[in-house]
Amino acid sequence: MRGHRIEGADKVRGRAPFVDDLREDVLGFTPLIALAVTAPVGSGTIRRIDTDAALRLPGVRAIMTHENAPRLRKVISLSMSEPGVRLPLQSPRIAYAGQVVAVVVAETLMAARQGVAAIALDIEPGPAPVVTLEDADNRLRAVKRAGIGPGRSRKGNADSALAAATVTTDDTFHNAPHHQNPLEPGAVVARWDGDGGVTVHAAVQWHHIDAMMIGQAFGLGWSDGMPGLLRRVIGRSRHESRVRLFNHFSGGAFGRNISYQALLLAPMAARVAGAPVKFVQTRRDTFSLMSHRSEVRQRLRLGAHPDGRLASIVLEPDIAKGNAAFVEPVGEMPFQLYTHDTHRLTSRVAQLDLPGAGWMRGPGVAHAIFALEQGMDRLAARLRMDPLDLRLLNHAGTHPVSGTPWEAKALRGAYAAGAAAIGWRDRPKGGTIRPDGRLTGYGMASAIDLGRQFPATAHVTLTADARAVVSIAVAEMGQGLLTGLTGLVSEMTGLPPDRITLRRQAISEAYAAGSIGSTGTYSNAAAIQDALHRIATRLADRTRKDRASPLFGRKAKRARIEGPDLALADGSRAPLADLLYRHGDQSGSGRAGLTFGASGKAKASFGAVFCEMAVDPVTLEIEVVRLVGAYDCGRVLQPAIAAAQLRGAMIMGLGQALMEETRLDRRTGAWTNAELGEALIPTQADVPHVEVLTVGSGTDDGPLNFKGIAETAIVGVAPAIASAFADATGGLIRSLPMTYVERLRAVSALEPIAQGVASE
Amino acid sequence: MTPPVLRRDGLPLGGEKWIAGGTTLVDLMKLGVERPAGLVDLGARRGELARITEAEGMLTLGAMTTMAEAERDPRIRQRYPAVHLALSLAASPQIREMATLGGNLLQRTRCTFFRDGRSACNKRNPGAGCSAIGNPDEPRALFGASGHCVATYPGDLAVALVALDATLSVEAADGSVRGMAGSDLHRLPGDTPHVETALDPGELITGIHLPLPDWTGQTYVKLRERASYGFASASAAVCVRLEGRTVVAARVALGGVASVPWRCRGVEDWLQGRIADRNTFLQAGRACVSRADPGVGKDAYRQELCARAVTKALLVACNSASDDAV
Ligand SMILES: Cc1cc2nc3c(=O)[nH]c(=O)nc-3n(C[C@H](O)[C@H](O)[C@H](O)COP(=O)(O)OP(=O)(O)OC[C@H]3O[C@@H](n4cnc5c(N)ncnc54)[C@H](O)[C@@H]3O)c2cc1C
Ligand code: SF4
Repeated sequence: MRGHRIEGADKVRGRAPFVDDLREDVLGFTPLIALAVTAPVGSGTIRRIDTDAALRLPGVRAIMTHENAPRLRKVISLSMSEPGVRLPLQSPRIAYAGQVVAVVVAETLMAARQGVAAIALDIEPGPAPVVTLEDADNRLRAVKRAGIGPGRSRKGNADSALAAATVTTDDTFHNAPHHQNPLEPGAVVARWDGDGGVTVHAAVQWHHIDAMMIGQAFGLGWSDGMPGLLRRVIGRSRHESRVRLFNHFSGGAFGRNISYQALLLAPMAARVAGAPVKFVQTRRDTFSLMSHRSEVRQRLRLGAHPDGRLASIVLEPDIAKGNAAFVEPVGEMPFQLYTHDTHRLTSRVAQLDLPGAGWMRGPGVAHAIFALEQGMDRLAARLRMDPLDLRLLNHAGTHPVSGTPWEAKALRGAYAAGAAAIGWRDRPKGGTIRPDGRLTGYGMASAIDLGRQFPATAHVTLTADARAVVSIAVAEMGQGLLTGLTGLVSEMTGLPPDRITLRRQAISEAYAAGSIGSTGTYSNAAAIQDALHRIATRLADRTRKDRASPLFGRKAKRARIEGPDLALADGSRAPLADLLYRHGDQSGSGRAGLTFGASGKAKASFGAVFCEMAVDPVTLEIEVVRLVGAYDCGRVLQPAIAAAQLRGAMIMGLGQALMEETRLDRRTGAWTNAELGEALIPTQADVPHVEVLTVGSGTDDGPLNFKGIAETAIVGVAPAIASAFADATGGLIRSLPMTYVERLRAVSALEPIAQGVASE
Repeated sequence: MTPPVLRRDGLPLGGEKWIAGGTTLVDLMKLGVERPAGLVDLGARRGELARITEAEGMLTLGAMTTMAEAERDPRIRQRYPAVHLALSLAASPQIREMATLGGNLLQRTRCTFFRDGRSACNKRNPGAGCSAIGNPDEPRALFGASGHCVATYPGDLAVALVALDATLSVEAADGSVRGMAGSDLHRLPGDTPHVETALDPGELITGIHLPLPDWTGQTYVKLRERASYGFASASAAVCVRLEGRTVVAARVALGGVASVPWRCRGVEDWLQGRIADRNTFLQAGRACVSRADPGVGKDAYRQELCARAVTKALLVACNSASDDAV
């Protein structure tokens, strides 16, 4: 079982249904098909939408525009998604290109496509949209907070420390916007029920939060709004809801797997059509109906003492924001990585005419650490120090700002393991010529991400025949959460995995933490553990009074399930299965994470990434020959799944470094390379030898001594790759992705050939 | 708009099209860019058109040969490495198993405004205007563009064929067959960018003829943003004949940067009689782009890339191991 995904066999056999696959046999009805019509321009007002021709087409059943769409109520979007600031089809105003302006509902996909093609839009053009930071100078505003991170912070007087520093760097870095691009384009099925409630089938990342958004938008009452949510989280309630959201597998997510707008558009369309619908996203829709990782520009200045200790970090990020509350939390992590005397963070945010930006693996931190680590390399070069030695010198033994000790930190171990695996200390000098004529380069970088915990609840029943049934509405996006949690429950109870059932799909299951920010497994496991503790206490009370029990008459208060036994604090134990057989089913509701994991200690995950690269000196073609990531993730739960997660995140980091960007047409404001053939992500041929190592052993020896891993692993990859290029060629990378245009710029000052040998 | 009808025999009549592997045509139909009235499936003629035959030193590739079949053929590997590379570096292995050589030659531009199915585009909708002209954010052809269309031809194979002086056999609707130089297949956009080839309606490419190579070296260098499954940002097909260290003849064709596969005749002449060394090839690369349309904005880098592709291809074709080229 270990290493195999619970749902894996069904997935490879094509038996695991995704939302778009759901048919009458599962749904109990056959939905109509709904497709979006989107705005071709990024600003303006709709004068008229001519739907006559489309409505005359055979099979077209209804067309929804801002004129006939149901009015929605304001929603609170805890995930900072677009509907929190802008609800779909409520006004004729166009806020960005690709915005949904109508929905066609038809009997077949073909008819719906024809309907979309037959719709004519008459748009009163607005002022030219502003979609890049380059054009947004007058939209930049200083901010106190950038999303969930700080917009401003300071430690000491960083500017005077910088002025006094012996060695300084000053660079401006740029990260292009790009998309999560999960493989599954996504669909949402909606049907209005007889009691005024709505049944929705979708693949969401945070079940009850997303359901609450639907409940609020359609005004379904308090129990589907914030009070209902609080009752679930704090009161551990599993009440029925009138938003009957069924959560299905999703084919990837990386921050977003279905559009938040689609969760509203499907029920809206079902209401207008008077029949159940399935809203289907086309591939192009996934670029504008879903979020993206936004563009960021960062000026970074570092100042160091003569020995290399950091005297000052001055970071000034300019962050693009779309039509959602979300802002890349760039300033959240960079000051937690290294010991430093002073720092100043001053962020500015520009509201652009783009779809809402959103979460993508390593939000904020992936951008920020790219800049910081490139800065550290520049500093190392100026100090004539080995890049790794500079990092070791500035290693933060305690939290660099608060001074609190770390709960667990094995970054030194990660440096050592990664350096050994790649042969860092014996590496050839940068620019050494390989046998095939290419240049060799090596680079390294540190990785960090916040350690968080989110509130979660779980309802567990241990049955008389020794099975565990866990009600917990978690999301499985392909990351292996079901397998990870099942393994943990098995470990906690001593029951084999095939006797453990996770019930997660219906909204009447217990509130679970979302699969976000690498927190899903930990947060939910903590709630399950709490439920088991409660069961243990009650079971102990009963069995103490049971003459036939080996625990009869024991006084010890604290009882724990320590699979396969029930153990009391005095060391006495009895087999759990026997107790269950004797006392019957035992249930308990658990809860954890209400304080978001706050404790007296600082929490983060760490890693170190090393890269070996070969560069063609003529063409600047690059091959990432080896990529080694060593991560401090505490105890490793499922080695095969952990390795897959880490490797996958590293490959994503490689994509961020080398190719991922979604380009914009500044005249219309539309994403231009909005298809998988043109928005490049790494292929097998790009993926070199990727090696993952894990270090660190967590805090204690309980089942929860592990850390979230999925996000940290993307963080150090891009800077390590950029550093390897600089090592090989001398060309310093400032922009990601480092496509040819950036590589040519980086070397242009160094190479005679780039400046042009006189042509005859 | 009714779904197109698929036929197994006959000729494509008004508004109808041949379909071979379908990898380009069906893609464009899904995007709403191609709207053929009907399709005539060439699969029925695979037996006759998917053969690789040899006569009088000439290798003939049937137009229905798949890219994968041609790429694996040992004669192509050994005698025409430029063709082998142009095929094996194109698209993805899955697409190459399905895609045919004829279809490959006739693939259409990747211009984003052509493909989005709704921006103004003279190629898609003659007379509608061009959304790419004057747009600083999108790549444009460095060679061959007109005031009506600045799109590039994206294919790889055609570039190698132009460098190798390949010819095509074309079958007309009445069954008669004519020959055509490979370099005559694609037409410059001029003021009719929607007319992309010299084929008449209903005409069928039946075969590609590769002349016996008398080059001492040939290759195809493709620079792209990822290692597989990516179109060329710039590419170069190069053939050279060396005597000692002297270039006695050369062919240079560029891909990914021009409205049609682009022969650099001036540079070919210039190379004649030169010593085959790194300096010569650097200059040749530079000379290839010296007459390029000065790119705008971010696009200017593609001239540099193009020059480097040519230099690299010449180095490889002359077998000067790139270690003395550093
Ligand atoms: C994502 C992606 C990436 C790609 N990358 C590359 C790349 O890097 N390099 C590259 O070169 N190509 C690339 N391609 C293009 C690919 O090689 C072509 O799609 C393929 O070769 C077309 O062949 P087909 O047989 O499928 O043509 P079809 O799609 O069947 O036909 C294409 C056109 O040619 C016409 N046609 C076909 N055969 C004949 C014939 N014998 N005579 C007359 N007309 C004919 C059809 O009517 C149609 O108009 C890529 C394609 C995709 C989808
Ligand atoms: S460059 Fe050519 S293909 Fe592109 S929009 Fe203009 S006319 Fe159309």
